[in-house]
Amino acid sequence: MRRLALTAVVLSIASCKRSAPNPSALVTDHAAPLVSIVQVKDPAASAQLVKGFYPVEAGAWRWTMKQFEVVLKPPPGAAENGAKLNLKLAVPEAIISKVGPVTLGANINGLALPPETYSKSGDYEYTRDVPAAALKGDAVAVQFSSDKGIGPTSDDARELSVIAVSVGLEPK
Amino acid sequence: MKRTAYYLCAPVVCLALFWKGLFTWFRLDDFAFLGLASTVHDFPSLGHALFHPVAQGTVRVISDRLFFLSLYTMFGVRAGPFHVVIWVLWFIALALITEIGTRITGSRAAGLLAALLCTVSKVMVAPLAWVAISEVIFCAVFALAALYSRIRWLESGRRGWQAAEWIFYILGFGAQESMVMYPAVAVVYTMAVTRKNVLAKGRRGVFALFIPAAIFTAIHAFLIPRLPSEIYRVAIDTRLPDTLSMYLRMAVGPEHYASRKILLPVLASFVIWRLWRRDWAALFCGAWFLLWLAPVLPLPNHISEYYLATPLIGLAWLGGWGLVVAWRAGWTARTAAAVLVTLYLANAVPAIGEETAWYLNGSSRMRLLFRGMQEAARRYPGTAVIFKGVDNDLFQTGFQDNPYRLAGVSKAFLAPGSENGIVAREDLGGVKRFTISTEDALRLIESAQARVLEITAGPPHDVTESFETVMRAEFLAKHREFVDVGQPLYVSRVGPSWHKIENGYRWMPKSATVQLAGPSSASERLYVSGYAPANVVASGPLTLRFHAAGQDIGSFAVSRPDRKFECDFAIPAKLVGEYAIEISIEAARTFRPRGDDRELGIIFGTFGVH
Repeated sequence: MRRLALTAVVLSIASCKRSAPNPSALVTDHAAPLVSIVQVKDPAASAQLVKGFYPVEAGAWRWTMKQFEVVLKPPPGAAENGAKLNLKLAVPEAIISKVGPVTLGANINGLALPPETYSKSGDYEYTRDVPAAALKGDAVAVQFSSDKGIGPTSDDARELSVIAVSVGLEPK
Repeated sequence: MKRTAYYLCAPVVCLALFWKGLFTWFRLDDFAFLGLASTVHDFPSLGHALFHPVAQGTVRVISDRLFFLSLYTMFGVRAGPFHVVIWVLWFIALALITEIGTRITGSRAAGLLAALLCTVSKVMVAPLAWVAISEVIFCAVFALAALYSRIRWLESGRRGWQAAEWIFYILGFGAQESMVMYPAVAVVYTMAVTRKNVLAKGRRGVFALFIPAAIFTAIHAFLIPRLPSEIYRVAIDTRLPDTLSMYLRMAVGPEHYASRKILLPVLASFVIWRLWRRDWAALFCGAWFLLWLAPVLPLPNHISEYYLATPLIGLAWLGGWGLVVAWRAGWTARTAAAVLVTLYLANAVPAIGEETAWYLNGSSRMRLLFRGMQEAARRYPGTAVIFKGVDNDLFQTGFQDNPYRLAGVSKAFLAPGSENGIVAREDLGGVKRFTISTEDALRLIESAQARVLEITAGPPHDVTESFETVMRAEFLAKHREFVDVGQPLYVSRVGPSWHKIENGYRWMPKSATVQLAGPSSASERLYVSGYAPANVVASGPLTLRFHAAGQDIGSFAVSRPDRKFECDFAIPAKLVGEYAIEISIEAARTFRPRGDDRELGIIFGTFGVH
C-alpha cells in the first residue's frame, strides 16, 4: 500500500502537465518593411534599433549607451547618388557637467564618417553625407560611437551617453 | 465573536498592507525550485530532488523541496496557491505570536500588539511576496509552534504537548538551518519566563533537544560540501558587531527613516528597565532576537532583510509589551507611545506599499515573458530563444535561474550587444552564457533553430523576421571583406550579370563582378574559390582574368574537371584602405548546355580579401 502511494507521488510529479496553448501570450510581428527614418519612440520601428538603446522615456526619446546601432533602409536612389545621414540627438547637462565635451562619430556599413564634438548641452543634429558605395543593399547598419558617458553606478546600472530622438537616411 | 475578531485583527492588517504580495509571480530562485519536478523520473531521482544539497549546502526538505514539488505538481506555474499556503502559515504564526506574547507579558493586548507590530514591518515584504523566501515563514511557524507546545506542556504537564514540541522542532530542520537555535530558545524561555529550574527533575529533558541540533550541525559542517562563494563566506571576525548593528537598525525601520534612530534606544531602555526590575521575560525577548539571528551574523557579505523575519518577533513582543506598560503609566507615557507608533507606521506603511509594488511589477514582467516563452516553445518545439530588449531589471528578476527551461525552451540568449549594461552574478555563470554573436544568431535563425522574442510592455513579440533582416545588415557591415556568391545574404554585393543561385553556388556568364572592401594592408590578397564541372574544361583549360578596381591583377587557368579550384592574387597597393573595390572576372570562353539557353562561364563560390 505504501509502495503504491509512493508510486503515485512519483508518477504525478514526473507527469507534470505543460500548460494549455495560450496564443495571446505571444504576438507574432510579421516583418514590417524597413524604413529609412526611425523615430526612436515608434514601437513599430524598434526592430531597427539593434543595440545600445534604452526603453522610450517621456514617449519621445531614448537614452543610448556609448555605442549604439541602427539598421536603416537606404532611400530610393541612394545606391547611385548617396544619401544624407541625420541623427537628431540631445546632449544632456547631466553628461556634459560630469564628463565634459562629448565627441560622436558614426560608421555606416563599415565606412567611418567624420566625428563631431559637443561642448555644451542642448539639442543637435549630426548630419553627414554618405557615398553611394556604402549604401548598396536593402539595409545598412549604422554604428554610432561617443567617447564619453556616465555609469554604470551603484544607483543605476545603465551606461548613459546621449539622448536619441530620430535617426535616418535622407535622399540627396 | 470577540475572540474571532481578536485573532483576525493582525491577519486583516497584514492583508490590507501586503495584498500586492499575494499577486506577485515567481522570480529568481523560484525557477530553480520549480524546475525540481522536471528532475524527478523515479524513486532515486525523487530522493535526489528532496535530499540532495544545493549550492550552499542547504537541504530544506519541507520549505524548498516538498513545498515546490507538491504545489508545482498540482498547480504548475500558478503562483497563487503558493502564496495562499505561505500566507496561511503566516496567519498561524501571527496567532502564535499573540498567544506566546500574552504569556510573556501577561497581557492579551500586548500579545495582539506584538502580532500587529510584527506584521506591519517592511521586513515581511520579501517573505510574503517572494515564494522562495518562504523558508523564513516556515521556520517561524515551526519555532513558534514548538515553543507554544513547550509552554502548554509546562502549564499542563500533558505529554502530548511535549511530543508536539519535538515534532514541530524536528520538522523545523526541514524549513531552515536556523532551527538548531531552538533548544537554546527553549532553555531561555523556561528559565526567564516561567522561572523554572531546567535542572529540576522532569524538566531536564530540555537538554535532549540539543542532540538533534548537534547532529544536524555536524552533518552540515562535515558531510555536506559547499561551493566556494564570496557572498556566503563565513567570517567570524570584527565585523560581527557591525553586522548585528545593521540588522538591529533594519529591524526597527526602513533605511534612512527617522524611526530607526528613536525606536532602538527606546526599546533598549525598556529592556534595561525591565531587567532592573528583575523581570527576566525581557531577557527572553532579546535572546529570541539574538539567537535566531546568530546563524546569519557570520555572513557579512549577505546581509538580507528577510533573515529578520523570525528574530523580529522578539522585538515585536518587547514593543507590544512596552506600549501596554506605557498605556497604563498615564497620559504622558501614552502620548509618547502614540508618537512613537505614529512615527513607526508613517515610515513602515509607505515603504511596504512601495516594495510590494516593486515585487509585483518586476515579477509581472517576468510572467509575461514566461508565458510568451511557453507559447514559443509550443509553436516551435526544440528551438532556442533570442531575447531582444532585456534590461537589467528584468534580467535580475531571474534570468540566471533558467526560467526558459521551465517554459520548455531549449536555450536562451540575449540579442547580440544587449548584454551590455547587464549586471550578472558571476557565481551563477555570469552573462557570458547568454551571449551570442551576430553570426551565430543569424545561423540559428536561418536554420529555424531560434526565434527572437522582443520584450514589450505587454506580451512579448515574435520579431524573428525583422530581426533577421537587421542581423543580416549588421553582419554585412562587419564582413565587407568577404562575399559568398552562392548565399542570398550577399546579393547586394554581386553584380547584375550573375545567374541565379543554385544549391549554394552561382554560374557566371562571360563576365561578372563582386564588391569587396579594399585590403587593410599591402600584404593582404584576394582569395577566390569555385568549381569546374567537366563540361567547362571539356575543350581544354579555361582561363579566368581578374581585375581589381579596373586594374589587371592576374589570371588563373582552370583545368581539372569536377574539382574545386582555388586561386589568389596580390592587390595593388593603391587600393589599400579603399572602402569598396569592384572585382571583375572575365572567362576566356563560355558554352550553352543542351536544353539551357544560358551562356555559362564557370561556377564560383567565395571571394575574400585577407
